[in-house]
Amino acid sequence: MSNGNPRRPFLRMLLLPTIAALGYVGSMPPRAIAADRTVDNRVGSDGAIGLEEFERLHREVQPPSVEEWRSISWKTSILDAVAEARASGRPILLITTNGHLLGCG
Amino acid sequence: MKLNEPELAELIRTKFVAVAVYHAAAVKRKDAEGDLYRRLQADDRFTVKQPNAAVCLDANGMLLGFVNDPTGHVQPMLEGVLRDFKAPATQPVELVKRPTVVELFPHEGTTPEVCERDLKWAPKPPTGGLVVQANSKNLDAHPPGRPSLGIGRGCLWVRKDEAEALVKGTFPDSLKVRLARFNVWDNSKGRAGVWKSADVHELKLNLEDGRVSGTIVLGEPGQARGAWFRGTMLGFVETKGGVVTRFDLVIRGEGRIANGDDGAKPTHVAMAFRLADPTDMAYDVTPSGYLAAQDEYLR
Repeated sequence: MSNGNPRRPFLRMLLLPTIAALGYVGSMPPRAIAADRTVDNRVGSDGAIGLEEFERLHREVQPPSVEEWRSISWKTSILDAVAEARASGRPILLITTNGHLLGCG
Repeated sequence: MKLNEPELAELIRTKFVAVAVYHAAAVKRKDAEGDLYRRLQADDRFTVKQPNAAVCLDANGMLLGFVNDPTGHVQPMLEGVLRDFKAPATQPVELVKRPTVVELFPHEGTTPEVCERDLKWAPKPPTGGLVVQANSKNLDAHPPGRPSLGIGRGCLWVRKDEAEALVKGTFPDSLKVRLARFNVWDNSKGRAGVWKSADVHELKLNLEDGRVSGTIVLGEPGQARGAWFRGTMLGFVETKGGVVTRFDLVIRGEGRIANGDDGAKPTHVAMAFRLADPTDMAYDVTPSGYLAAQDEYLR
């Protein structure tokens, strides 16, 4: 029945421009696809991640760009440190941790 | 961490040669690096027997000072070392004169650079592959006192053939599983965790037109004790000239995925991935998952 689903005409109206838009997007380079994808730029009501939430979390789950301890030129090899200590005449500071200090622990 | 204090960082940056090692891997290395580490450890004065330590030595391997907890009294120790320090004036005694593990310096004057590297415990990032920065955050946690806190840092290695598959528009199964098993964890307060293969109950991950989407279920969601996670993901992969130029991904969900209390209240957690900067000093640091699972990691 044509009136069995009152949302159908609305969906058709929504789908036609969407399909046209997707055709355009399909011809764009990858970066443009990512940047211009506005179909779901919100927190998904079904729990999916929308583009806005993606961008926010991707930015938020990131260490500060400037940290004092990262201004130190850390070496990851004691032998390399010994070689530099010989050349520079400086003492060595060795920090040992369970889980790497530089962040892969 | 105290190492973030400007005065202490300045002291280390200008007066010392700083080196950071992962105790569990360093102590097992069967090469010159591991041999030297074990020699230092064997010195009764050296407290590297406890893995969290800050130790000072000179280029001859002479111990100059130490503290057990590098987050504690590092600065007074360093200042004390500097007061008494005199750089060795003569050619140093070889640190590894009588190697106990391997023949480190077969000829007089051999430099450390030519020593073999134990690739089991100190592997290099896969040639032709990718290094991806993989961070995590507990979204329910109070804002940390310092901006550097609250973010767990880790990494993900991608094999050459997997990178090539990404270029062709396919997200390889091996990479999906590695990402799930070794990077879906909140390591903002400590070491990362590793899931067993059998814990991966759902892993739907699609790459279509450069867009990554999917869902993931690890462990048994809702169970009263033990680790579990249920989440969703969105990301973007871009390539140029046959090279992956973007690997941005976010996984967000809920679960019990932090080390510590086995019955802790589940939390909302997010993981964020991006290509690592090859010039970053942590670029070739081994993923903890590699050290935990060895041969399984790059399988």
